[in-house]
Amino acid sequence: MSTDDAVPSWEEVARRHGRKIYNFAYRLSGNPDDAADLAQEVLLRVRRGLVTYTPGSFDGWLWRITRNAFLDMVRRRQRRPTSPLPDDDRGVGSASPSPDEVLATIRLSEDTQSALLKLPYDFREAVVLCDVVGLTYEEIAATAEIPVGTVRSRIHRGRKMLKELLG
Amino acid sequence: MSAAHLGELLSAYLDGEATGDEEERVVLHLDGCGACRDELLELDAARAAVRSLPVLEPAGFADKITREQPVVTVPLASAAAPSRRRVRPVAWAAAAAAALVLAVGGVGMARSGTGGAALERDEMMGRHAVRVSVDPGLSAVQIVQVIGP
Repeated sequence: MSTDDAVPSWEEVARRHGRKIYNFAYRLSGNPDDAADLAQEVLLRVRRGLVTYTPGSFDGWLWRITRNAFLDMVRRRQRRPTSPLPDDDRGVGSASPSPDEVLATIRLSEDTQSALLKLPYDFREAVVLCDVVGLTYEEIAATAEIPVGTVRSRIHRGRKMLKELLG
Repeated sequence: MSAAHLGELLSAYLDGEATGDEEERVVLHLDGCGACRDELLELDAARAAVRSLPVLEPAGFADKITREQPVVTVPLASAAAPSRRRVRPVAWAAAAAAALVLAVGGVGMARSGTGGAALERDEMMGRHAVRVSVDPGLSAVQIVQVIGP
């Protein structure tokens, strides 16, 4: 929960939000290296920004920084944010599926991640901000600078596509 | 002609983001519309698939950033969603959640399956080293999942 009346220290931000920032970038890009770079970059910008940050909606401020840093990174690398998962051709032609439930669990999450990466960026971002980062529609609207109605529509269309892809 | 189907209202409803009036409308409509009931279940499954993605971090990330033991919570059926909103549970995949607990519990055991199954599992484990602890005091399973070398 954001404490709107206190300015957190950089360490607190890193501790409380670092992992979420990483996961936001990983789920959007499918690339662990980019995600790690992004997390570092965001924390750097936060560190610089905290100097002039005035107490307000901290989460909104943080997630705008995060989203902008992600888009900057994508533009810099001239890469569409649809990088394939590493090794995602694994398992083709291998032995029949293992009954091992750990395997099934990990594979399921990779299937979901693959499907996520096939969504258009706007839908994927909305779904990730909602279901990975856990923001409300209002917060997503503030982060992405779009109306709440657009948030609702993108999330819905993203989920419909996921439903088709996941069968 | 029947009322228009609910469309994106269903997603908002699932996320607890529909207004009071909208919720009423949804409930009334669902009562008489099998197509929308089906869609609600499918949307909920897609939503659940993303919400149950494990929280990840690269090896060494926690040390670099926080120094604390990286532990993440995988939401189970009864645990709170990672947000401040009300959530509208619909036919939650309790079976899948239970399977996750079992699967997680199985990690520590060196199960020797057939050659193929064991190999595939090792390959997966190599990429996603999973450490598990289950705290009986919590309603959720704690998993640490680390990507890559």
